[in-house]
Amino acid sequence: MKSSLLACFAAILFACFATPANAEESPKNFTLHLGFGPHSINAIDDELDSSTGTKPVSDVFGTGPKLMFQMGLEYYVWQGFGSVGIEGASGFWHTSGKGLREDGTQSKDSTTFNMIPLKLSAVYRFSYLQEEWAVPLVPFAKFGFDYWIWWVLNQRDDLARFVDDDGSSSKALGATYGLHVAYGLMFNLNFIDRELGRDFDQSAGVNGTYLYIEGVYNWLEDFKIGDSWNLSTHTFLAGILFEF
Amino acid sequence: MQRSVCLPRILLMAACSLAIICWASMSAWAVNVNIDEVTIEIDDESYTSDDVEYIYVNSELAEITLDFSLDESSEDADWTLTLGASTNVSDQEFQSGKFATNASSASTSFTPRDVNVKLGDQNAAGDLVYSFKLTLQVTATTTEETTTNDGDEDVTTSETVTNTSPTQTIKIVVDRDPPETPTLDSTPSSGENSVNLTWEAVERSTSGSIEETEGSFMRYKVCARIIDDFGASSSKILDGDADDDLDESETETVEYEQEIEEVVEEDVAESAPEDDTEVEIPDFPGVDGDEDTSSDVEINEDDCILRTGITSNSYRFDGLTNGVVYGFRVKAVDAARNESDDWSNEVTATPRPVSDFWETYKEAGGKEKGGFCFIATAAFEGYDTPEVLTLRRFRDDVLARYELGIAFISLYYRWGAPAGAWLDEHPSLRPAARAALSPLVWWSRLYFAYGPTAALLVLLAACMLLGGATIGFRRFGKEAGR
Repeated sequence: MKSSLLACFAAILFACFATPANAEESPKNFTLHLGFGPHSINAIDDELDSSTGTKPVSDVFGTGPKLMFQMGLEYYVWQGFGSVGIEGASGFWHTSGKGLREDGTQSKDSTTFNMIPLKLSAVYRFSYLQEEWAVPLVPFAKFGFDYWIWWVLNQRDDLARFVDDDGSSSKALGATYGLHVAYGLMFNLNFIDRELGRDFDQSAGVNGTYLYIEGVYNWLEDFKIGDSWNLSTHTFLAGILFEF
Repeated sequence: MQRSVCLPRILLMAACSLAIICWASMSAWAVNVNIDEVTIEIDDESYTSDDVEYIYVNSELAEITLDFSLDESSEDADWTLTLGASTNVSDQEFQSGKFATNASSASTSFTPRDVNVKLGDQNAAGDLVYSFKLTLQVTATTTEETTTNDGDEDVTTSETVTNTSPTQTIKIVVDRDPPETPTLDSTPSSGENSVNLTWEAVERSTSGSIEETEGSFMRYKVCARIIDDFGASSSKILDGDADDDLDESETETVEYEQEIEEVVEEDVAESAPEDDTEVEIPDFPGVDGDEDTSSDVEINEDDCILRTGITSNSYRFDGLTNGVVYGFRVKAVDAARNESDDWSNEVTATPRPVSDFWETYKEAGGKEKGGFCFIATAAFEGYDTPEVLTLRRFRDDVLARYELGIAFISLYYRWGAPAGAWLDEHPSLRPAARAALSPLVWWSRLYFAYGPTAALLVLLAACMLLGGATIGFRRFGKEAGR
């Protein structure tokens, strides 16, 4: 009984999705994505000596994540059983908080932390299900290098500086490199309105418009070489992706 | 076939359309007059009005200069200023003049008293405030040449065209009413070398016969005076930068800095130490935000660190010295430059050190040092090694001064990170990378020790030596081959 129900469900699904692929589809070589997702730098607090009780990120910026914007362009280097592409992506992240007085209370002086992530990834998209059986879901995975440029501004909107006891000064401008792994799922909006999707392809060469969500592990610690801080995080991004 | 017939027709139609458009644009000459700037001079002080349509002055003797211009120059143009109907009298000519031949700009000056005389007693709206409207119009004449094709011949005809511009209106309000005195919020917030102040906004006091313009014209000036420096003569003194809230001309900003310097020089320290001097903040129980009970203390602006032109009812007063107790007062200044009769209540506050995020992180023991030196850092295994420090210094002090150097730096930033990461993954190659970078490190040291000339000479000698060695080696190879 159970197996026959499952068979019926599978048959209905197949009937819904299984329309032959459009033979006149334009060639597809690129994807462009725009996405947003929460990001936090609270890992910085974890690297510090917990006995002091100071958590700079939490104390100044709070514990909640802030929104990151990201956009990327991918070029398909191989298309067969799915596709393999090389993707370059960048974005912007910003958080602002209030500077701390000597007694630990927050002042009205603002301080900001800014980051521009630069990512180079290898991407595999398992589009076989979509191409063969018109299932509108495309799982994907990414792996790549990260280079995140960051800077901190003080209350005068100048680059923050710190002078050590030994007189050496450091500017709050630098970059941290690392790796990332991402995994996600894309939903093809053409499935909702195939006619519109075909028109978009014929008029603008966009083969598919997708909504996507991806989970990302960023390991950003200069590969633990030197005295880098830890910007690592596990987060997600969601947005829209165009395939053309 | 059809296409070959259509194409010449389309081209012909396009050419005709173009010709018609050109002709229409040439013959539709119109004159427009624009008021470019209004300058007001009173008591030898001159300033430019923020608005060229509504002008506020606080004296009948203020000299108002209008600079106006035409969109296109004209051979012969007359301008007329007419007193408008808002003064309850019929329009009448007030001033007139001519543009110089083929000039596109002109100017005129007058005082509200001139207008007052013209209008007799009818313009006064109360004892202190009256207002009037002026309209500016230009009649301009120019000669137009039109070329037409009469059979095989081009015929040029001249025509004199006279045009009258639409009127441009300015409204002038003479306002001698001082604005109300603002009230300072009694809880200012201390920041690093700064204090954040807020006060109740003051409404405009002008009540002329001209309709109110949108928005508030009220501005404020804030005075900070040193009440007690608690021995802060050993404290650091920062530059007094005007805050973002301050919508002032550059000249006025410079004035602030001069005023600050003067006051600080007089009142605080004869010999201010370096910026990095640590400030010991005395404990001032109950000082911040306390209202001064002696608010009737006479304030002499010469004793103030003064900030003017503040457009909002809050202000971050920066450029102060940490640990010094300051008293703050505020005055409202309206669009006609009338000031409140009195300074506001006085509130006191003491600027205190504030740590930004970077300082908080470093004070908590954070080890990140910033910077971008990838390859050298990876090769010499440390950001603060002498070799890396030398290269960083060369980057910042030498390369960054030249466009070519900046291009090299950006190229290095683009490709250096992956190269550095690759080196980190292959530690066995570090000695080779060090060897490759060492000449650059030595040469940079030479540059800093003996100057650019010596460094260039050494570089030239090294190139010649290398070139000579290469040529010699090739010759040796060829001869050995024979």
